[in-house]
Amino acid sequence: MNKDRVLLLIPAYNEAENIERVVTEILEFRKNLDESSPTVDYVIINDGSADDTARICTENGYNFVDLAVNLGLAGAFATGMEYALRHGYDYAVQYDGDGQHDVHYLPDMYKMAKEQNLNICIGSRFVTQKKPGGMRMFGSNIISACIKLTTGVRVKDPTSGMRLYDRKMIESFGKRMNMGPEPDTVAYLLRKGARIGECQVTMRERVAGESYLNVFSSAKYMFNICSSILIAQWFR
Amino acid sequence: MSPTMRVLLLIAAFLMTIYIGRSLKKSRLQINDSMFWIFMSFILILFAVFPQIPEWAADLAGVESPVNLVYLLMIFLLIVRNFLMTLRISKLEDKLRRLAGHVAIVENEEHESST
Repeated sequence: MNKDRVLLLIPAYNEAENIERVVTEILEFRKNLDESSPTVDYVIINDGSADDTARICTENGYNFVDLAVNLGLAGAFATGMEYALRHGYDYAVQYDGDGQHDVHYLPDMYKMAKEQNLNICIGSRFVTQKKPGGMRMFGSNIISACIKLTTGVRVKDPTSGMRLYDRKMIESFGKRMNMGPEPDTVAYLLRKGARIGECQVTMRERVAGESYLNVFSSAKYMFNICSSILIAQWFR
Repeated sequence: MSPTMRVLLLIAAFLMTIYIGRSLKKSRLQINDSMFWIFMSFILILFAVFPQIPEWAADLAGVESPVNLVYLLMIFLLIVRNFLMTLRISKLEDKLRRLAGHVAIVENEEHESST
């Protein structure tokens, strides 16, 4: 039987401080894969970074796609999905370039997607672990409630940025507008009948650099996602 | 507001909503951009169904006729929208320029290395 091929797509915007550590970890992880595991490749999508991200990738011989202008997370992700489609991957994983995600959970996610025939497997922080309270999870709870309200499905960690997509999803992501790597797309796909599961993972704190989401844009992000899930989805 | 005005508002809002929906369905419009227009037609419907709202607001603002307030609000909203669009176009043009320049330079380097 042919092995499945999994692609880690890593959008990177000004991740010069992190990218080497992230890729090194993936390469180490790849060495220790056993026979039952899928083939794991990676591609970095450098989203027009102003720092040394591209230079570091070139010097280390990393596999990367260099966007000439900054497209934002959605644009970088779409490029990664097109890459996965063109190279015929069976699964694509959205993976952070800042070291928050732990590649060692990939086999669990892959196995779960394979066994339960899932279209999307979310690397979730709160399947078996309890969700912490407080302001930090406030936004996550609201988005969960919006998705529950519109789809009837409880997604425990909708804002997790670590998601595994199967071949069918890879194909549909390339073709349409409004398919950003965000919770509103998850809600949309749920309504369209996609099978989505959550697999317990733990995430690390950000070590260095600046995220796409800073504190000031969080409110705007919440508004966009909630209005998209609650209002715009009904037209689609 | 006259009943005719209210019916006109309702029809306009209704047609607008249908067109927004179709554009979204056909992937011709990004969700973020659609929100302004959905919001706009929502306001129109609100005013048409509850004319007390613009009447109350006109009273508050000291505008003689509620219809004038509706016009004023529309013009104001459209000016803001127009300015935001100008910003986006500027950004887009700048990106396009850099993109075209980048492609041209890469092609030139390929030529250089092949000769």
